[in-house]
Amino acid sequence: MFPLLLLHSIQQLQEERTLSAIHHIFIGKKSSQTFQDMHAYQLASFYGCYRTLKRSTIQEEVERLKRNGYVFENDEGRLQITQEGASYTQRHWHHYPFDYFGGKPYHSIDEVFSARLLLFIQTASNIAKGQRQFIPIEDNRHVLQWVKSFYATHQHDLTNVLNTLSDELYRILCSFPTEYAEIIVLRMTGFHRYGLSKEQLATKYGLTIHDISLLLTALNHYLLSNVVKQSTTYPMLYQFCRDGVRDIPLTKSGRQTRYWLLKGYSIDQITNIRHLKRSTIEDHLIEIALADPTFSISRFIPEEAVKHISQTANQLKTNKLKKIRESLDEDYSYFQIRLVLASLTKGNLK
Amino acid sequence: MKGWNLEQTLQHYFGFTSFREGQKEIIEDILQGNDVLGILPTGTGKSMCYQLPAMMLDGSVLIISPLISLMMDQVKQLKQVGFKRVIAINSFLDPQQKREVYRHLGSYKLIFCSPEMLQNRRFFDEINSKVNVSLFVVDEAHCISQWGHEFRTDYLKLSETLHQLGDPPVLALSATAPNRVQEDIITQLGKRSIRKHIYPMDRENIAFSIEHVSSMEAKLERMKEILTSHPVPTMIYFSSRQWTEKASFELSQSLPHLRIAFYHGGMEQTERILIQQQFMNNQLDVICCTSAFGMGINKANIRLVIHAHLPAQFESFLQEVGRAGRDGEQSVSITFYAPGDSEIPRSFIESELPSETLLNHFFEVLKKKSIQGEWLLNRDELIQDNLQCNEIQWRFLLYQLEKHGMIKNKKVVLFNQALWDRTHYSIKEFIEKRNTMKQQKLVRLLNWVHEEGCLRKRLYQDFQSSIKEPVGYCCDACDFSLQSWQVIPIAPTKQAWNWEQELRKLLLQGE
Ligand SMILES: Nc1ncnc2c1ncn2[C@@H]1O[C@H](COP(=O)(O)OP(=O)(O)O)[C@@H](O)[C@H]1O
Ligand SMILES: [Zn+2]
Repeated sequence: MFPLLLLHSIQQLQEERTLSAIHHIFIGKKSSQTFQDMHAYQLASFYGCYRTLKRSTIQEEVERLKRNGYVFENDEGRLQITQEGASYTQRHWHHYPFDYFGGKPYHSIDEVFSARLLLFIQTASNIAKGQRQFIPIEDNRHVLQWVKSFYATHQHDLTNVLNTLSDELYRILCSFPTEYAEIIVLRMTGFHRYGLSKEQLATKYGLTIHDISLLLTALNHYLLSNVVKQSTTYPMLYQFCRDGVRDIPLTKSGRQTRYWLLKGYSIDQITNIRHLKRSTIEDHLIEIALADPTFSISRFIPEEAVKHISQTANQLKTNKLKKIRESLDEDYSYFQIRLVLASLTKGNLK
Repeated sequence: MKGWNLEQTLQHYFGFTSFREGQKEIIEDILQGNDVLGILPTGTGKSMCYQLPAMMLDGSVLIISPLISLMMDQVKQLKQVGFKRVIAINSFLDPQQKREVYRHLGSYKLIFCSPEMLQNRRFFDEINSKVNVSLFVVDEAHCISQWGHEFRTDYLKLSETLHQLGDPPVLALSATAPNRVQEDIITQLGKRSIRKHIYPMDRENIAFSIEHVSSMEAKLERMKEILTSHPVPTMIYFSSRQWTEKASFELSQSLPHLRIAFYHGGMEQTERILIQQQFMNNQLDVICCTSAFGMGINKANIRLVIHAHLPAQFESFLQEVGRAGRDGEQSVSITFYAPGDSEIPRSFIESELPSETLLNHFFEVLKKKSIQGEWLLNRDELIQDNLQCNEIQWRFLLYQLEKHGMIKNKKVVLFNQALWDRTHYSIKEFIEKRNTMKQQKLVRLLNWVHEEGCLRKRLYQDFQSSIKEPVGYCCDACDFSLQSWQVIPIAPTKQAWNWEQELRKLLLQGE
């Protein structure tokens, strides 16, 4: 998984940037150069995907890719992907859940979310079993404190909480391929056992430690995105990340439109309900797409179209709607183009 | 409570009917207001020696402990038996909690803290003004000697603190302290008239064996053979992180029926906790580790401790071996030795303290800066001057400069040739002395590896005058051989598993 992601990133950079750019994106460096790069080369969803990645690890992996003939260093000292490299990437890319990565919007909450969840499961499982003494798997003070107070508010109906949590986790994990659901559960600690370490998961699934680090982040992002987007379906899980999903700054009218959208209504239906012009509702959508990192545009525009539009915008190096529209033979509406551009600037989740 | 004897008090507070060896004698001495040095083997209940007095004395007992995990364990244990007025002061407390704790500091009966914490002005003032320290405990007191001289230098400041507190009675406790370390503890604490209670530390249920082999590969092969014929809960100590990983991988490949993992200080915190607790919880059979795995490990059924590499001294070796057979059952220590093995601890010793080159360079840089006047010493700045020293060396140097008066109020004083020369020379001497001493300790351990007589006798002779009869096998020279050692092999655990069931189990559904 790691070599593939590296190959893909090298390909995306089109020899315009050095390896450091990739490293900075992966570790989630907070610099405007990195933000620019990740959008310009469509690597936004991999922002912060491997925060403990060492510079030397990338370098070693690149050496391996060179030896395999997948990349080479061109005259200017930039890495370039070879034909074999490109076809290797294409053949294997879909074996891994790269589309789970959510990038920057989840950067501030992903680790906290999973640490809280795992520690709470350990705590609740042990205490419900009558074991008050156990070594917490987490030693981050903020996480410990959060779980402590979360537990305190729920201790009177612990059984209920466990039932709900179990039910929500079960439903959400069913939407994962079996192997991924397994990995998530194996990582959990309860009254009867401690969870597997990354090293152990890697061995069990024949992956490298880097692959498993990436995979755990990907799975966590996917979990989070489900929880955040369907907070009413997973109310218990939502509590573990609610404070991290920042209040979204919206106009009052925009907020109302969002309310109906979240209930699953279409643009036309909302136009009718709210007695507003369609163009007004469309403006709201743009507003939401710009402000809400969890907002998914896939309901309103096909994947293919997103790709076309964003590629064109990139090639033309412009945000001028008219130019983009013309260059795409007017296949798409202004609204569609605006929506895609809006979601790109925010580095949104798919 | 009046009129109760010690046994009754013990039973009242802790529910134990009698004292273990040494406890009563030590406690009696403490209650009479004497300073006490107590050397008791691990697992016999050292903590009782201050827990019970804490219940009986007015004021509070202050306990200096080297590790947060050890303090937490103690606090947990005490709370478990229903004793609430106990606190571990540590960096996990947030400012608000800290204020709260400080406000009520006087109301705690037992207060745990690190030696570094005690040097914190704010904390010390709180203690000094609010707490009546009726007993000052130095737990794991060998740290004064083992660590104090070099990188936990705050251990060396304890005597000064004691003085500032008005010289309350002192209890120094340790499980591993040979004569010279005992002397060191006494000197550092400045308590010449301390009452010594030294109990033998030999473990009668551990047999000792040494195998001479030709190479690291041969060691690994032997480990595979041993773990095949004797699949038991095992710890294997290595000198480096890389080796723990490599060995764990190789052993797992050859011994698929055993659950094997590695542990070292370079792992992320959560991963460390997971592996350590899996081992404690019998989810792992064999752990390949560095010395980072250890203190506070309280697993009862470890049967075999293998040293793939030697540590640098007997104390470490005994601590590591001592983790075997806590339950009293026959356990075994096997040490591997290959030609050239002495090089690893030797170079480790040499790299611990600053080298002569580093020291010279350090003093040059100090001189260059101090000629212009006093200045705030700051590590980052020195690194810019190409001064490459690690954290341990840095703390060592700081402490030494302070001690020789070259640092005052965190500032390096104005350059003065005589002071510079004197300090430079005496630090150099000190380093040489420490290195020589450590090399001598190592030589003794190396001699042991080549011992032809009884290994047990030689091993403990530095620590005690006589040794107990072993309850099982003694050693290679006397009666031990692997073939004759009968073990209960680990039962292989293979269960069908699916995530749905496991999730239900974790969250106690359908019980
Ligand atoms: N007098 C006693 N009788 C029975 N158990 C005791 C007694 N004193 C201590 N213990 C128990 O022995 C165990 C080990 O004590 P601990 O102080 O942790 O040992 P050490 O620090 O010497 O390794 C503890 O569980 C403690 O409760
Ligand atoms: Zn013997």
